[in-house]
Amino acid sequence: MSALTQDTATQADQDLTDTPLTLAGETLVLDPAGALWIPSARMLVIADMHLEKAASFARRGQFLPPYDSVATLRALAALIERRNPRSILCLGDSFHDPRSMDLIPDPIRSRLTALQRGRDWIWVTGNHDPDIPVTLGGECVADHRLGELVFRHIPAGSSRTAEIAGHFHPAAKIRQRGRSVRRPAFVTDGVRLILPAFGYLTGGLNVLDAAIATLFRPGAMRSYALGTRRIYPIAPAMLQPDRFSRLAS
Amino acid sequence: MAVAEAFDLNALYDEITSSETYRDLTWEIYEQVVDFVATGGYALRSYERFAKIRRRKDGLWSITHPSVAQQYRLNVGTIVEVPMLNVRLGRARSNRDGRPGDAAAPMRGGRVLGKVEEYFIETLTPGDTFRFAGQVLRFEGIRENEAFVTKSKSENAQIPAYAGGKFPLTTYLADVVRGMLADPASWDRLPGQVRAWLEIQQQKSVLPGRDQLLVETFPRSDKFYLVAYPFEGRLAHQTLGMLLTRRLEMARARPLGFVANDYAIAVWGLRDLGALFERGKPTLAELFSEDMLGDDLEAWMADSYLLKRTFRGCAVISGLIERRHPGQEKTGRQVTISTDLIYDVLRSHEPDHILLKATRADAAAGLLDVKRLGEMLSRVRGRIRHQRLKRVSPLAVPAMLEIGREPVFGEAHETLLAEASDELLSEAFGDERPGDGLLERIDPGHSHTGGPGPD
Repeated sequence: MSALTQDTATQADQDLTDTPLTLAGETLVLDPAGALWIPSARMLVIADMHLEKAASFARRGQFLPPYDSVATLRALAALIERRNPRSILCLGDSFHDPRSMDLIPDPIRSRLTALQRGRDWIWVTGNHDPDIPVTLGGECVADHRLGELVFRHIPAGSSRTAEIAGHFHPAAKIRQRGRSVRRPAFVTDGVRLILPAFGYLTGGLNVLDAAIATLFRPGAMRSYALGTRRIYPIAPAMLQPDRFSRLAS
Repeated sequence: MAVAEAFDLNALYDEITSSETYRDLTWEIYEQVVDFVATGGYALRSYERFAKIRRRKDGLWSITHPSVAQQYRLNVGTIVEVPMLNVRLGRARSNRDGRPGDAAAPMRGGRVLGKVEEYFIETLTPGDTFRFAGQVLRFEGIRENEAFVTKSKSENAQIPAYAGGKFPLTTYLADVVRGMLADPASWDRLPGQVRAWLEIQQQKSVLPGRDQLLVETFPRSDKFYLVAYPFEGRLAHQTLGMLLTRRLEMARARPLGFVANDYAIAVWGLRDLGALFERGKPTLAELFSEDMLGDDLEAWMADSYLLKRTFRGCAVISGLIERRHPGQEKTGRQVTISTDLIYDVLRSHEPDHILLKATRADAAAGLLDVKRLGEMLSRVRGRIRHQRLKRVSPLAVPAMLEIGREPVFGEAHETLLAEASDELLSEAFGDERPGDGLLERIDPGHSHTGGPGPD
């Protein structure tokens, strides 16, 4: 995530290019910031923020810089300002560590409250945050429906359900002119859509990894890599596995 | 120190500064280091509750929990060693087509042949062959901390690898090497293979004179290369590489990246560099002029990946990023937090953090070779010899082999992504928009089997 480019975000906003996508008859927009925009409902969907991840590492004695949440929420604030959504749906793993839910620093809480003001806010729970305390505002649900679309953190539906999920932090890797580039990516087969992680300190899993690839109908998987100002659709044949490919144990 | 016993802040400072190495340590830096150990040393005091060491009522500092000592001892030792992987001979898989990343046929382990550096294995793709323990082996993949290989029927290894020492040649030795290259009469002291290599170089290109700088340019597949042979050591070459790439970018030569080894530096780009130099846009003399060192070294340093790489070392040594603990290797969940991201977040929120200070100091020491680079540039002024070639020269091969291990250069990311995606549209879809109408074509028999996620 390029959360740190927020200084330049305002001038870059003008030339951001949207990528439309149709899922279950609903027109969706893939935003280069790594979010999903649903114009008909004016809904913004983000997945896997992993807020307070650095603090969770600090609890185990690894003092990563405590600025990841701020970076992530700033990126989200810029996105909200640009899209002006009616509602915001956080697709699970919004918080990294369930044990530190009551220890979230006040500045982070107040940033969240400010973002929620005047908008519907839906927390879909994830494996990292199975329960969101009411003090954090918003509505907490296990899954959410919007017309034909189902939103849940870990994909679980049948192959016919138009499902929008997160959890996997998909990343697409390409190789051009002998150089490779790896970027967070949306993945879809036209039925199911998996969002990239929105959080700042979140790694990525290669879309060719069996955990992701088996979620899609063979041959139908399309990846959309995030660029700085636009989305780059990547054909299956262009995708590269990570060099460090792991064998099944 | 606190792991051994509680300490007094003043007494420890006196003890540390009594040693020669740290005699110039200031109290401010010392306090920042103590603070870093205690809570990470951030201006945002959010980690107080997790403090590793704390001032007790009696005024002494001690660890807050025995586990802190254990954790520290497991990470102790500040030499950042090259991570090694076991090389294990596996039994051949049923699936022999060697598709990369094929996880369908798990491999049975055989005996361990030895250890090899992780960075070497990382450059391999399954199916590549290399020579190890006297055999030609076929790389199959990596599981946990082991590289699985099978015996290859091939006689010749595909991947030759030579990882020489990481210390630069001394100026004296470099001068002798250049002298030997320039003087074929001295070659009978060299091994036959090296002699043959130099002779082919003489036929295909030229060998530089003792005081000359040879610069070769040539195309290869869809890119254009510049290889220069200053023999000034990896550090000076890396600095030179960054500065050259910057200059070429300003000259709109569209450089994509560079690699440096102890002998040479290779820069590659999308435009024919040889043609540019012949038209004098820019001239090689301009490109290699000494004023590059004054240019904007500081601005470059702040952004350079060299600094990020230095930061990675500081982060590991200081314990910010932990290495794997015994027993954790098997979980397959190593900490893969990118130190580049941590560097960025720290630089934008707390540019004076002790780790960034350490990084800058380290990098400056590494960049002492700026001095050596300056001497080289002044030595070769007016003595640059340009060879425009049709193909790669023998002397260029070692540098070319290093390509692929270096990260892509800045803006080139987007170019490469755009190229990959444009090719997609013509290749896969024609005029059809992706995603449309796929619902109607679902295979009802296909079921989803969710695997484990990354988290």
